[in-house]
Amino acid sequence: MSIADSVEDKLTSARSTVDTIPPVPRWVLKGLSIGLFIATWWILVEIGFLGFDLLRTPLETAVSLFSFIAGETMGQGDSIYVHAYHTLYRVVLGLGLAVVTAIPLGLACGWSDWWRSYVYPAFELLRPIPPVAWVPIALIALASEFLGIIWVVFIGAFFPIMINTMEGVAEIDAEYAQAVKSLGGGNWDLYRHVVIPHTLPSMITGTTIGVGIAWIAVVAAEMLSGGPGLGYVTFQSYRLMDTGVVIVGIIVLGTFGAASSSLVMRVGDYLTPWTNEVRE
Amino acid sequence: MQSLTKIYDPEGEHVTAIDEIELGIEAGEFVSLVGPSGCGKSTLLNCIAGFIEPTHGQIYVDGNPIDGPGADRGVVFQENRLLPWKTVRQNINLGPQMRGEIEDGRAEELLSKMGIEGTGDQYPTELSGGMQQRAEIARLLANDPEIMLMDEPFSALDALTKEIMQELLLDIWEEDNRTVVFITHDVEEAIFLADRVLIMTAGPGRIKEAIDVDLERPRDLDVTTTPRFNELKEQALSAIVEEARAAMESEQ
Amino acid sequence: MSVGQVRDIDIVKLIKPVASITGLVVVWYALVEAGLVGELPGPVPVVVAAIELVPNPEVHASIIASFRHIYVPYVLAAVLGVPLGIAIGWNQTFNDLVFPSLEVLRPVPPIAWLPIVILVLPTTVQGIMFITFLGAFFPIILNTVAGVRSIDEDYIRAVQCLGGSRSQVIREVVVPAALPSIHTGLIVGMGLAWINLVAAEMIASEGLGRFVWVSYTSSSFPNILFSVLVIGALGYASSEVVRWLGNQKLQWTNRSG
Repeated sequence: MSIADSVEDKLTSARSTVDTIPPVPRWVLKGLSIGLFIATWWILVEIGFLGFDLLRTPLETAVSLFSFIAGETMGQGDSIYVHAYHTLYRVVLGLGLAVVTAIPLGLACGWSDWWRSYVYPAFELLRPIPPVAWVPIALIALASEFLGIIWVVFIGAFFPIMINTMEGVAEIDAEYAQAVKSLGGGNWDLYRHVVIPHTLPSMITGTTIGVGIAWIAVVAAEMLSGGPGLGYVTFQSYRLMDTGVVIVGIIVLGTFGAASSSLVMRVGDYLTPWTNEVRE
Repeated sequence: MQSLTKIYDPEGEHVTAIDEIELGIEAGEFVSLVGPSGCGKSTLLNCIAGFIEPTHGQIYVDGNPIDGPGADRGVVFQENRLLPWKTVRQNINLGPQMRGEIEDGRAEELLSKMGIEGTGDQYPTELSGGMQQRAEIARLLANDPEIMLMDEPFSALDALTKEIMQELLLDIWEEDNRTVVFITHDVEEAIFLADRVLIMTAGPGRIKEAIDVDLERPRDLDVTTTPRFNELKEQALSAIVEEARAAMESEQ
Repeated sequence: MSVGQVRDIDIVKLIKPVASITGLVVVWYALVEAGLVGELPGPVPVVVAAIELVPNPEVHASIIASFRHIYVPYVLAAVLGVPLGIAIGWNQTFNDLVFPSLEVLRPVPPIAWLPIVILVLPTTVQGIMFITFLGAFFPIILNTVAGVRSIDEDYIRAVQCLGGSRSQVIREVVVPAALPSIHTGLIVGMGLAWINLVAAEMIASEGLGRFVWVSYTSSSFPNILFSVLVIGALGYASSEVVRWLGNQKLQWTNRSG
């Protein structure tokens, strides 16, 4: 095709030739979007639509947030940092365990027919069980609440990572394997130079999904049990009708969730430079 | 049929893809556009088709400026663009269907004209490359466009199928005498098919030379071995090679 | 191929997964016997509990309640998410106006909204349904947007030069071309809806989630496992139904020449 049609031009020219909206800079529109969102929030609280009057306005929430960051205690005598630390620790630990176990298993089940036929079906059976449903089981089977939460996070992240890794292996073209073999490579070389690099993008995708589910799991698990943590303090504050803390808790959770997904993607891009688009 | 395309001064966006082209095409004329990759021939075609608006200048059909894509200028794409979720027949009937004027049996007529009867109920992915292109041309013809725009339609086909398609195209063209703008990088194909061959230069694209092909019609493939054909081919090739060299040097 | 041979092949195919699952049960049994898993009941008590619970009306009521909690929000998420996704993917201006707000809300785990939602909405059940809705909504909308964005320009152009108007282009090209992605979004959405539903139900005490939690607090351990397995089975079945329905409509993606 022709040289320099950027994607954006293609979109606007072919699709919106009839849209004669005077061009407003995009950042203005995006700012407008966020602005509208905050405005709606404010109005709803002021009006007291449904139960909104129980919540705090954006301004009050911002003030609360800053005071917590400054060190004021959130709930049960702990600062925001303590709660965040505990939750983060659980997510990182659970996710780490998941990555370390799911990737080798995924590779094995993707590569070897024996594993695929004899080991995988058992996992397939356990996979549909939602992570949170494991909470009571973990609580009665494992020694402590902490271990129970770790287990739930682990199991939430485990399956997406394993499945995506498996599918990544399945996609490998036989020809790549043949190419390495004809260069004199043995099985180990095959893994190192073909299987693992080729499967990396899928592993990254799986981990990104896993991170998302890990956060859902940790929040739900913390809401159901005790001990410091963001989910825990959010729920406790709800019980005590301290809605300021509730909203702040949600914002912090969202921020961490976004940051961790973003982090995983960055690491992923760094590890897989060949998948990035080449600009000429 | 009275169609006339006149282009004046179009340019591409951001990076100048094509620059100051002034071109007039007569009704019923078959024009080939040849040039090295990236010389902007596709951009030019897209302008005529109405997919892109030229930054400067206008395109006129029959004296009227064009305004976006339309059924009077049908396009055949390099890679097959039959809608994969519709059967061949549904694809062919699509244009008339959208205007609410399906003619019974027209699809069948076109299918046999293109030599692919019996494929009506199949999906495009079930057909071979050559058959897909025929179906795409049939879809185009169902709309009865005055102008046919073709962007390297046969470049993905194997040599044998290509020859068959070229002759088929000429048959159709001679029957209905539409105006055709045909893009290709195959010089022989360009000369064989066209009344006039336009050679384009690379970055920014301009029309460097126009060669009138004075071979008699109707033509068949034997004409490619005649001396006159080879003369024309030499002429075209030398112009292009010059351009290609210049392009490579400018990249270094 | 004779009938006898066909049957042999079917049985052989089944052996492997059955062996795998049997292996799992054996490992489970061994762990319990070895005392490594605290109070976790072994396979036998769970089967016994299952036999008692399957005809139990309380269990049935919980199942029906959970389905109600998921069915309406899911359909709503689809009905809202797909058109919105198409609009966002198609029109840049609409995208810039709407998408940033969505992106701000998305990273929050739906379940975290539960306290707020329960306060704001009149009933707890509505709160649960909203959480479920959120769980399905984001995957659906994201996959739809991706599907629309990845459509090859030329398909749109092909229909345009056949004389199609903008709404015709959307109907004939954009929607069918995006359907595979939309389908994926719907399947993933059902999965996430289910995950969030169970979490919400456990915390807010409704439906199957409540049943699980009550079994826990009343120390009926085999019941816990039974209900968890039921949840898993229902979640799986729901996703498969969505997948199957989609495959019926998407016949054209299966054929190749």
